[in-house]
Amino acid sequence: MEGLKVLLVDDEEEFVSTLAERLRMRGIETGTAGDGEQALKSISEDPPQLVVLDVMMPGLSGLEVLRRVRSEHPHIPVILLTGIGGTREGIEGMRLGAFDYLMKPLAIEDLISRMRAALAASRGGA
Amino acid sequence: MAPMEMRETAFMGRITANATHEMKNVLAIIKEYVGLIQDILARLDKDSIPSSEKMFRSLESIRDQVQRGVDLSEYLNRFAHSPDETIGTFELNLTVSQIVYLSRRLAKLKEISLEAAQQNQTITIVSDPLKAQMLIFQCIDVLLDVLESGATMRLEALQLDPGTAAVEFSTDKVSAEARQRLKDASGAPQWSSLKELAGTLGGSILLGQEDPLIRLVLPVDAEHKM
Repeated sequence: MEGLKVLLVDDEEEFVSTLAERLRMRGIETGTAGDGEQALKSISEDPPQLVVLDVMMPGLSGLEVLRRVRSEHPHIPVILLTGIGGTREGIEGMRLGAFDYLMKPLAIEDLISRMRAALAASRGGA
Repeated sequence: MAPMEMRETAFMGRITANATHEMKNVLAIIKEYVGLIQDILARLDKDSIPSSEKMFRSLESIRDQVQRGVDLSEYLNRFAHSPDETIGTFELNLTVSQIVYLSRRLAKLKEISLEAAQQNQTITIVSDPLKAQMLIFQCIDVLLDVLESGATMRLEALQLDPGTAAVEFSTDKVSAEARQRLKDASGAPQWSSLKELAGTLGGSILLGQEDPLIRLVLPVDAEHKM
């Protein structure tokens, strides 16, 4: 996963910063955003190869951010993070074009394995 | 349920469901911090870490406890959403597991083990989810007052025929005294109200002195029987 650049989007600052640090320790260049607006700005200015996006955020919801990313940057795969009982939102997100969804708390190995699969699929589809 | 009671139940459900989301966020942060410490320790020479075995074991214990908290939050969240609909579709094995999980502490205080039998068959029920769970819980409660400490209570969901399902409550240990208490319980007002509650779901309930000690029968589709 060396050389990979991802953007983590979640309003839980401590969650996102700790997870980002752990991904960086694994050689993954990781940026963070605390809300949907910030995420869209960051994606436009410095597009990542993949976005990991929380569904439940104040302001722009994760699903709305997903819609915009899929419409403006269709080549960037998105993995959603959902909370309890988030299966419905996860399925809705996949219908809107998310590659996959994971429930929080997550196992970092699962996240990395989904990231690999998302990138392989996006390269295959390109 | 009266409209005021429905509003009160919905209020409690909404507040609880919301709090479980927050609990899970807290647990997710703890899990990431533990993961970060483990990542940092993994890069160090094990011999340079004081009490390394104890430290690694403690971190694993924190992870296990986080998972326990996650399971509890998930069950509690599903439970809190029960009053969302007066008629809803639910899976009976999952509902039994949920109530068993949420009642374990109560059983532990009476030194009784509570188990849900693992089932591969899906049993889909259309009924009042809150009342159905209340009924299962109250059956557990009756048996907790009857069984002696050290006993194991086992709940099993069964599909009896295409239109009927059941939850059977069994145990591995019934003394003569417990049998007498079971007999007394069947004449108690609490049992009559349980029978009444089962009736409102179009079901029935039987209390015996041999396994299954309680058999709760529910229609698979209660919508037209309530």
